[in-house]
Amino acid sequence: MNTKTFETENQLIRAAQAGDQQALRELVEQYSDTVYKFAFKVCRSEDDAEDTLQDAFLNILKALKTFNHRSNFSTWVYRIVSNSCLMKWRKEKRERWESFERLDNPEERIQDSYTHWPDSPAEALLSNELQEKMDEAILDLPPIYRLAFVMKDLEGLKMEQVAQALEISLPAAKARLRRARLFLRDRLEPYVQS
Amino acid sequence: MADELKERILNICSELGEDIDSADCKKLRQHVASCQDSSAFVDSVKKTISLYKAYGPNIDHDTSSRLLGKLGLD
Repeated sequence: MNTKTFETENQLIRAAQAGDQQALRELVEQYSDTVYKFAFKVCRSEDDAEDTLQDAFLNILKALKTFNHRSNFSTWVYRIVSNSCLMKWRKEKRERWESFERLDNPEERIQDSYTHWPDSPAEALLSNELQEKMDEAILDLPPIYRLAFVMKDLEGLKMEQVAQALEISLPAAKARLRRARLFLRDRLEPYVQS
Repeated sequence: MADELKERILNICSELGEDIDSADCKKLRQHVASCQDSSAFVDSVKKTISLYKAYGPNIDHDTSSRLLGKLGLD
């Protein structure tokens, strides 16, 4: 990752930890797009993504001095963003996923936060119906599973990083990913079958 | 295909290489290539992932400005 003023990201982080305002701003600017994209993929709503972005960075700056440079900074950031997402969901929407363990309640839908899909050639190929089904499916996926799916399959983190960010064991992270993939695939089955 | 078999295929991919396109997972798929249902299932999982990867907005200037303002860094 390039930095404007600091030669390495490590220097940037240490300066930010020392309270250097320019470093803090650069650090926020460097990670804001990553955090926003991640939040959007998880929340499926621009408003929720922005709320999560702001909450996450407030938490990141609050906890910045505790970052010990022994782990990857981006993984640490993902951990804080994930916790911000989970805190938000626990307050607002916990009841939504109570039936997930049975995976047998596809008719229950909460259609409260459909995504605005920006125009692009790739996206234009997707029908509105498919977009809605995709949003419904991922929003019906409990957050702990959704986070694993977004981190691994959409953001490209290594499985070990996913486990670290979610503060769970590697086998548990793999199990969550597996269930998320299966759940989403089954919900989109009519659209993804050959 | 039975749910148990779907779970097992994903489980093996995950345990071996995590990525559904990893080398070991590809070997597994070669092994089950003779099974049309299995191949179709793996392809459908890949297609599901690719659909979700197909979009994601970049942060816009206004959102970025509001963030910096919220953090007192504007």
